[in-house]
Amino acid sequence: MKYALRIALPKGRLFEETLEFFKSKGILEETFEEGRRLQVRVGDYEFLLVKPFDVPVYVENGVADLGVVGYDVLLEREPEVYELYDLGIGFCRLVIAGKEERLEQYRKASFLRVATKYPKITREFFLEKGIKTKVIYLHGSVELAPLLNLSDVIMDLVQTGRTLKENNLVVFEEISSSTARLICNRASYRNKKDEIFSFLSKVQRERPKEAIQPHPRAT
Amino acid sequence: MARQIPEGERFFNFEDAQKLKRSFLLACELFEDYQFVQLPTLEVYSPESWGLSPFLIGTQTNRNILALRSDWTLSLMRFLNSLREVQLPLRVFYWGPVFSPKEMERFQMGIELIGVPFPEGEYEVIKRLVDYLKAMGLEGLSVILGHTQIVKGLCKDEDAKERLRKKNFYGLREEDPLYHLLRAYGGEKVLEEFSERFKEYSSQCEELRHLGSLLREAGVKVFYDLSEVRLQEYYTGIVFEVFHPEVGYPVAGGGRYDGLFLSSKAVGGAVYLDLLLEVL
Repeated sequence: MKYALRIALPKGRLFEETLEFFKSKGILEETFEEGRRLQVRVGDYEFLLVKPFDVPVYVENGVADLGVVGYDVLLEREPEVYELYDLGIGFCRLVIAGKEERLEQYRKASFLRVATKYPKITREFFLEKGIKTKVIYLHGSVELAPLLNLSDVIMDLVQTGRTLKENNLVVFEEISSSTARLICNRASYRNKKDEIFSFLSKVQRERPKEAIQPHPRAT
Repeated sequence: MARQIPEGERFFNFEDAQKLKRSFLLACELFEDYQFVQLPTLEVYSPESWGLSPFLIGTQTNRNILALRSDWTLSLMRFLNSLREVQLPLRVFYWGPVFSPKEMERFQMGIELIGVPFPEGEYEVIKRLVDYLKAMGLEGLSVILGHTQIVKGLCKDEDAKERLRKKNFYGLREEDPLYHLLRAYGGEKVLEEFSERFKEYSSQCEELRHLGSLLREAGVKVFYDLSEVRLQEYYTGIVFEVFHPEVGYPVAGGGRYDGLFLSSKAVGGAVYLDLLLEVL
């Protein structure tokens, strides 16, 4: 039997939380592990396990009908997809951070070297402030850059702030907050209307009380 | 120096060029009762008569700012305004590129029907465009109808429009009209429910229902989506988009734009040819 919907899920940070969320809404009966399998079939759904930044790629091109992705990725990539719903999970913040003793310098700077996984958001943020930047694009371990003086500051996603702390970095400024979003391919929205809307109504269902967890919102 | 293709530039291979040629020849054949227009690619830019993001390319010695054609409908209106006499109703078709900084060059085939009221205008434009797409070999097409007056009336600001554009259902309460706009997507039943709730829009809903039933009688698959937003500001009535099961974007779209050419009633629509190349 063919699956009703194909859904791209982000591996890593959001993965477990997303599956728990689906389980709490009755979309999944059991969660599954993020293993080596890249395609997982559960009932009417086929899940694709891909890198977070690739989720909108699969959805935009119609390989997947739906996808779960952080708002940070949507800001960075601006894919042509529908953003159906804010799942309210995976809360985190996009921030500028650096070594504490550099804060004064950061405030006065008219030129900055910024290491980040988000070149587009970074450029736009500083462009608006009229600060020239050299954006240093990294794929991970961004926190290392200011420690070794590869960059003046970093722009990165912060969930608990622990990684920053462990590397003696502090938040200078917040750009935006981010939560996981349910995105939808534009043709699927037309061609698989009933399946999409039935999925959406499950997502919107009230959660049973015991499953509600507070936002790990760090202030 | 290394040879580079600038980002955004597109070469059509011979096969795609052949498909584009066929699309032109077919348009000539199917729209024989329409007049073909050939309009300038280079236009003199003036902010008040311009559509979305103009593709400015320079200045002339007399300090005119030049831009590339960004919207066939607006270009046609400028042309018609330059004529001393226009016989209505007027039927025209065009074939060629439009330009924008973001998307560079897009090929369109479109028709404009000026001086024809509701529902004949809408019916003819949609039916003929769907027939054209079918003649190109496309199957499984569906038409989505929406209404500019409903969207404009219920959307207070740009944020609201952006929400509709992204189909963002999150956090909308039942009191919010956007909640009902987004849910007004489907067959005739959603129209009934919507006009029941928003009685001030019952005439617009009736227009949609009437046009829908005319099109269905002619064998066109029709849905309604009252949250449908078109980017162009000039639409005044029913708008439509045509979808193909394998393409993630609408393959054609258009609507009514009364009063853009003098006080005439008018409907137009275009097929987005380069999006179709992969399924032709």
